[in-house]
Amino acid sequence: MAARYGRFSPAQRLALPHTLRGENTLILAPTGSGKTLAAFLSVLNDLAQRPDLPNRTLAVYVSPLRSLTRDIERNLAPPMEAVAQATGRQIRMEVRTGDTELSERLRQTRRHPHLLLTTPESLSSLLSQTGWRDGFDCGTVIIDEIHAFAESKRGSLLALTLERLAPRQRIGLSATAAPVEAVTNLLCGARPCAVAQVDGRKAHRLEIAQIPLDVVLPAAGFSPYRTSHAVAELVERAQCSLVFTSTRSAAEQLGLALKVLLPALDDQIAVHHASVERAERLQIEQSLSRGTLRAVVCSSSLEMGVDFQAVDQVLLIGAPRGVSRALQRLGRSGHRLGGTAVGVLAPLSLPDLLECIALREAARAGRLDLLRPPQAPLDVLAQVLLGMAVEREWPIDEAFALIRQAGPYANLTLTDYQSVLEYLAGGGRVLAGYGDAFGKIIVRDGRFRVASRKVARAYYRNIGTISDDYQVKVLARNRMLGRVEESFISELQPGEAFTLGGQSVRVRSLVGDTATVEPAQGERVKTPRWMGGKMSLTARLASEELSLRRALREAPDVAAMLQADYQLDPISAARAASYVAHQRRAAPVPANTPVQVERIRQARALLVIFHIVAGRAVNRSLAWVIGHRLGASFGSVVSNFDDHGLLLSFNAKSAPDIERLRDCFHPQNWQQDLRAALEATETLGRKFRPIAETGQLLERRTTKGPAGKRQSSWNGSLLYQTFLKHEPTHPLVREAVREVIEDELDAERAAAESERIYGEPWEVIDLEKASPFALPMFSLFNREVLLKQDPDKALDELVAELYEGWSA
Amino acid sequence: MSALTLWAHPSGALFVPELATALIADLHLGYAWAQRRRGELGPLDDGGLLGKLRETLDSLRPECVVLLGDIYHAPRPSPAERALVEQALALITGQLIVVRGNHDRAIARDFGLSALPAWEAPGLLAVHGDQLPNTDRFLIMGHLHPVVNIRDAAGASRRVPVFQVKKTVCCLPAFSPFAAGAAVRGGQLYAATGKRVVPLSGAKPAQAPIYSDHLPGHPTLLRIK
Repeated sequence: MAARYGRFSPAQRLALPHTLRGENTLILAPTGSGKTLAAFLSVLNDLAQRPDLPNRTLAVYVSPLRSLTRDIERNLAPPMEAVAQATGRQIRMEVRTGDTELSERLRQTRRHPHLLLTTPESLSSLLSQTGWRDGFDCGTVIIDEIHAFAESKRGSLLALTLERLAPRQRIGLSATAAPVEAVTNLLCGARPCAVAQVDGRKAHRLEIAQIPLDVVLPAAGFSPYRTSHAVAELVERAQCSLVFTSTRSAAEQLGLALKVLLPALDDQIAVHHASVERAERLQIEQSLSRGTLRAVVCSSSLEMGVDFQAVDQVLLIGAPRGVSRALQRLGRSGHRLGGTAVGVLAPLSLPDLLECIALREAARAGRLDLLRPPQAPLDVLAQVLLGMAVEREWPIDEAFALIRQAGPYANLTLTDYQSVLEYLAGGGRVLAGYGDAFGKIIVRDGRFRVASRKVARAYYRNIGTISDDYQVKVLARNRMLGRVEESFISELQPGEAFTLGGQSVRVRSLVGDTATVEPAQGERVKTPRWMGGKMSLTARLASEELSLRRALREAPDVAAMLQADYQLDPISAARAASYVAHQRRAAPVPANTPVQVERIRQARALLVIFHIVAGRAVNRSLAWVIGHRLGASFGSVVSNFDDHGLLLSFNAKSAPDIERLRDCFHPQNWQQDLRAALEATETLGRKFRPIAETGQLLERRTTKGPAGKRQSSWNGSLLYQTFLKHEPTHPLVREAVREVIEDELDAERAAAESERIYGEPWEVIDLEKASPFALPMFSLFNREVLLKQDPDKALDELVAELYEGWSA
Repeated sequence: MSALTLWAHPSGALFVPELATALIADLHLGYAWAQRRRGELGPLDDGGLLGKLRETLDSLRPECVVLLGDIYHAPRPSPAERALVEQALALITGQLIVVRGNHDRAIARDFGLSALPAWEAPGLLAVHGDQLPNTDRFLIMGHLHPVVNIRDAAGASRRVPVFQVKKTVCCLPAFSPFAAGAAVRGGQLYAATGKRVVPLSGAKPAQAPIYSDHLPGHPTLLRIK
């Protein structure tokens, strides 16, 4: 076969000796390196050499994206044909995802595909189904883009699903990742695993675009709209641009702006994100492959997946908040072997410009973000245990041993395991004295099985780890345009227009979960918001930025330094220098040492700003501990946090002094205080619904579909509060705490940072208005209530405010 | 015919002193159990609902209690849900009037109680609110579970159940702590915190000089002539 497909690529030469011997292998190489073929060669080799092909699934390919499975199906057709001609044997290859038609599903159940192309969720479902559970005799499993699973609960689901599948060989395909063990652990657990690594660094030409120079700096940066002129120029110079924005609404805004600025290219510019209707998205992807589009503006939806040969330029609008993420996105251009990726970082604000400079340094040096995989999430465990119970009756011990083989669950304790079983069986302590348990599983004589077929049906509907927001369908002339969040659409005034998929529309009617819209012209147009857009700066990038800030703080000639040491162009260097000059007029450039603190009086509130370049996860943890330690004596404590600091807002009448604040950073009992602080915030309550959904406590989808459900179900916060009161050790409650502390907050690093701040000198500056470097912290995006005062007291204040001057 | 007064109680109950009648809407008893029967394995707890009902009745000492619909959450109650409803009804010592809600349509079958479509008093009509009657009388209703989001000086926001009073209608907050609320705007709003009733924006001091002599801390919402 090598003869037919020419010479082997470096990735193939490194990987094939391992894969062909049937060893577990992780192949780390950039896209376009031929690693996919390297993996499939051993599968085809195995299938071709078997004496016969039974009615069983013998090999499985798992990808994070449905679109990738379809792409692989297309690409594998010729080599499969070659095998068929050489051996006279027809290998059945089929795609199975959430999109697969019912008739195909039935056919697949009767005649199992020899090679199954699927997603973790669909595979997980198949392993439980009658007609499939005995249909697997899996030799090799291939996990594509496995790095994309490493930091998510989808990865935990994948690892457990692989244990249930029990393949003889596992092959993982990954972009360059660090540490490699985080990925091999996900793929194989403690089993031996060969690593074939190709130098991940593609030849990058990485530019920093020149942002428009404005006198006024908006706190949250320019809207992408403001940069659209610069972006339009960049789009014009390339054949095909892939433009990444940080949020879906930003993609909408920029897409619309580009169409206005480049009327000649109007129908060659498209907007692509997860809320655009699937058929529409597919069409855009196909046009992109064929090279008939000049630009596609997307959020994260095209970050992975099918190769787009035609793309010759990738633009990142706004600082991408992480080195690995930036490299992944930049890698989406020039997918030819050894092709040069042209990437442009387009900062949206002056703080963004500094971040881009730091990021480019890290990217050039190949310093990657470290992966932080979730440890043994209990909600995913609950889901998988229920799936196993649907599959067959399991001895409790046997299931525990199987689960502990999965890398993420290697350290799962028996107590945690039992508590999840107990929860699924209808409850533990909370049940004392009540007879109606309605458990999902029945535990008896050391074995467990599903309680009823009704439970099994609900399980199938609710597989997965990704929670949708409650969204409204948008229909235009009976064609589905996409979805927007219900809260957005219900806030629109009659006649007000908004954009979706780059089109402006006006709502004609809203019935249930469906909004009917008509085209709108010339009105003031709103851009929809979708939740969870903003990502957090990684630890790696935070430390890169800190060294840049230290250089800026000391440099006598900032512009010259940036040109000499950071190879920045003269115009951007001048802009950064003027930004630094503005900062120096108010306060020094903050660089962690000494700890720079700003105090500002604003209306009824006193704002205290700490400049801490450590990333959002750390600053958020610090803010919470501060809130907790201040206690109820200062009323509510509200914080805005950011990658570069945190802002505390107090009622000016009762604000704490500086020494009191310093005590809040004391290292003693820091982690305990963080846990205690968590319980007083709303954050865990908000977190709880997705966890309850993944853990199969609440239904994500019912027979009636996702809409209309929220009204008649538990409110996530209330559910959490009630659990906290009656069963604080419930596994899903502990999962909520674990997820926030470990995955979101990075408590360990935060504790170290707190100790540093406590011990260092502080430089407190009283200002009329915030210094330029503090402005991004005013963004409402990250506002969080750390501690609430008693509601009655809050009402008192409010009423006193209302009646002030009325002297009732 | 003498005028009637509407007092707001911190629990979310409405009291008509002239008739010694308390109106309570949306208890949704057995919520946690009903959700379990649907397959949601949440905590089994009534959120302190029975205790709250007992305290409210002790405080108001009504001769008549009007339960304004949605007494229990789901039809065909399990033994635990049935027990909760029976315990709640046993707390009511005076006259009991049951107005039909949308959740408890089958109350005759499930509990043998006859439910009225509405409760009437001179100038007043009280219904659950899932279907609105055509009337020129002042309307009292539940069903919507009105709440407002209030923000304190430092900027923290929270949801508080409210009485919403407009020219022709008064909507009671849900008595159940589990009821998801609909944020409302317009009219006069009176927050019911459990401890007190606080008039919010829209309720001008002139219209709500509020604290009655008879029941300190219970604002008069309105006088119906």
